[in-house]
Amino acid sequence: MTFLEDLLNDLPELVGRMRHHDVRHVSLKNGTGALALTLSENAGQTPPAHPVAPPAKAENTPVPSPEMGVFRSNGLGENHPVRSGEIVGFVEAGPLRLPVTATADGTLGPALIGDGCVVGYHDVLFRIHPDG
Amino acid sequence: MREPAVSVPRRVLIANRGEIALRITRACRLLGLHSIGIHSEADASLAHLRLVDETLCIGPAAASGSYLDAARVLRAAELTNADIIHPGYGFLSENADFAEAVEQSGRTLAGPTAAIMRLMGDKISAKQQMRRSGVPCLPGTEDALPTDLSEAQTICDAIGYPLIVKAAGGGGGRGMRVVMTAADLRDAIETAREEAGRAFGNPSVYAERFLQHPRHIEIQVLADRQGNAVWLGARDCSIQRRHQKLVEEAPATGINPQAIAELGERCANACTLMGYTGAGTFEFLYEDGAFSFIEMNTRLQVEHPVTEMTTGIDIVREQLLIAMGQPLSFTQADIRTQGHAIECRINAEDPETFRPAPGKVLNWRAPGGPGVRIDTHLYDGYVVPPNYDSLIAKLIVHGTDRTDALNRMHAALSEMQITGIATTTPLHLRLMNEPGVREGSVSVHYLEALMRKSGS
Repeated sequence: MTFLEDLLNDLPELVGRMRHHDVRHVSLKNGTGALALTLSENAGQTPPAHPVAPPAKAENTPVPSPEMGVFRSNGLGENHPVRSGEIVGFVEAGPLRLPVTATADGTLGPALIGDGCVVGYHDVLFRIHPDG
Repeated sequence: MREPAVSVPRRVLIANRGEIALRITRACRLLGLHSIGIHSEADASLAHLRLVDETLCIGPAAASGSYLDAARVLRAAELTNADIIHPGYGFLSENADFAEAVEQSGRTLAGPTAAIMRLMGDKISAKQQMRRSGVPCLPGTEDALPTDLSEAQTICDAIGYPLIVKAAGGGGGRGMRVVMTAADLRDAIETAREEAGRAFGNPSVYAERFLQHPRHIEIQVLADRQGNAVWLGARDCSIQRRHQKLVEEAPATGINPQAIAELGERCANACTLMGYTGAGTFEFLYEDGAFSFIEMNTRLQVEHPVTEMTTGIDIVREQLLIAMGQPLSFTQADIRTQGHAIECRINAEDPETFRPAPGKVLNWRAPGGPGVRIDTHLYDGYVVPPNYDSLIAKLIVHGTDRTDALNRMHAALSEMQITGIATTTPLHLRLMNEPGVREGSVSVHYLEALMRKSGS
């Protein structure tokens, strides 16, 4: 059996592997022959049941106050990179000093409330911009 | 020599929601006071919050974590430097511990002192105080019924049957049992005690004569810190279901005005004697020409507008002025009642089953015309949350006489439009044409009997 005949026999498997790995072009060559294979963009794919929404635009994540109280900054400025769970400020609620923690990884936006100002329960104190 | 300047309290925290928060906000604006609106997370879009000078979210939707949480309300008052807390009705408005905490924080509650709230909150001590002041009470026990059931039986036999066993610390129908014959007494006492202990943390119960077909008549009072007290006429609130009022009116029809005036004088005197301050209501049962004291509500009532419409006195404004330390600007001789006023409570409820019907109000069209007043926090798109009382509007009309007021109410109800949720409006429309209502003087059992008759 020639190289080309072998390839044609294996073509279904080859195409399957190409699709699986998202490969659209293959070129093969040896002394007896050559093969160039190009898959169409949507060939063989099942159309989606519902129109697919365009990729969601990354949104800012709000950082709420844990309690009603007085906001205390911990000095983190705008554009400071933060990790989810990192303390980005405090709220004094009576005798308690409660941490305000980042709700996502990203870059901290400006404080939406001044240091020492009264904040309500779950008022948004910052927004975190996603990285990238 | 000039006297040192005394700072006048001007910052009012409104510790309530819905229509009454809006009502208090309006009174604050009328007086030029700085208003602070607190709200739960579910209530950020309440109508009064766009009119107040400051807003503060105090907690989650559940009332237990917001409007009923005394510590949170007090913390909000501290954070906003409030001088006066107006509690409205319901929630913390009759909580003596809260009133005491407000006093201890150096602030003023728009209402009586904690000591008076405790005195009136305990039904036994309230009745004792009323007897001392010459306010008529039902025949019944002077003190709590003894724990010994045989002794209790002897006392109750002397009162006579039917009688009612009531929780000393309660209200709203809980811890309450009607006893038709002596044989039923022991079970009733034990059940009422158990229920009262669970509901109010106080298992004490007392007994008094049970009236079979009474009307609910109440007297509105106002008392200042200088010892002046006035009464502002009577209201009839007999159209009720399970102790919840649905329709109220002023004046009380079919009762000798002289008898009401004598009762009103006794109520005002009782206020002076006990050192009452603020607005309050003495509630009575009325049967066979006699009034019998039930309880005193030491707060603003939902139905206060019918008194405002007939007397021309802004009760909420007066409450705030009293809390600011000002004396009443009028005497009893200045008070006149004119015409007849009716209020319908518009609840977000199924008009037949009375099941709550929270949801989004699609269209809200208020009725209008001469003598029509609507107290509501509704607007197009407002979502009635499931977390609170179902009262969404109070439609009040004022007419030259009762027939005129009934006609105006029917017209206003027909004009009013609330779509998107079920309300009690159809029931009110029906009531305005019911022969019993048109005739007047119905008993507190009227509405339930009517609903039973129509199969609801």
